[in-house]
Amino acid sequence: MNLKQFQKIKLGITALLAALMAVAVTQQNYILAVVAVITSMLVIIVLKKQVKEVTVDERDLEIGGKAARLSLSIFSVVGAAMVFVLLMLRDRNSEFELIGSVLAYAVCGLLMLYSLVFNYYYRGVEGRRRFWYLFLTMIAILGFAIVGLRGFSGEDDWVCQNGQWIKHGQPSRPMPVTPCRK
Amino acid sequence: MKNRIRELRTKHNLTQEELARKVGVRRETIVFLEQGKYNPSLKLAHDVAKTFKVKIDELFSFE
Repeated sequence: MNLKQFQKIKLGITALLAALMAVAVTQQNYILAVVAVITSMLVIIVLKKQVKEVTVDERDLEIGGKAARLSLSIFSVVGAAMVFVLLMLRDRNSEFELIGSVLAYAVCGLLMLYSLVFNYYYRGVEGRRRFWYLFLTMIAILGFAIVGLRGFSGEDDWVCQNGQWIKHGQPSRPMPVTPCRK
Repeated sequence: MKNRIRELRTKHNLTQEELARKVGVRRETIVFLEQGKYNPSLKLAHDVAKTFKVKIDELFSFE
């Protein structure tokens, strides 16, 4: 298989995946979404191995690195600005606080991940230290995800019911000052 | 930085595609190299110089 054929097939798989994701989301069939993503990734990996030509070279990697750094900077700056705007406007819509918090968490998570990956390459981690570095990185990512899911799941939060804020679980923050209009 | 890649490639009757395959990069990288729009890694510079049987400093020149 040559590179052009591979790129055409990859485009087809991506289009099919997008259609399947749309169906999965509308039908709320999340197993279909997970199976579709994993299957398409595996098919692309297998097909890529069949390509005899060079698919990625040093120039692609250099450009990829520059693009990733710039994208990260833009996302972090715009994301942080959006967080402040959303938190400032939380009195107008109580949902803004949750959106702002999730966005802040996502920006912090991305920066944390970038630092870990950057350090991995910067220090040239090798041998036994490589295993421990990857292991601790996975633990950090897992911990971050668990704390995030716990924090945003609404388990321990103030719930708006019949015009009153009702304590649900053990919320860490005080009762919202915004009026409850549900 | 200037280079003699196009000149030497023509001299060796190689297409950009063939040179790319010999040094393990994509054809586009050779295009940008010849135009002086891309500074190669030391390994790529070495591989290109080896293909043309010249020294690296004969291939590239700083101005």
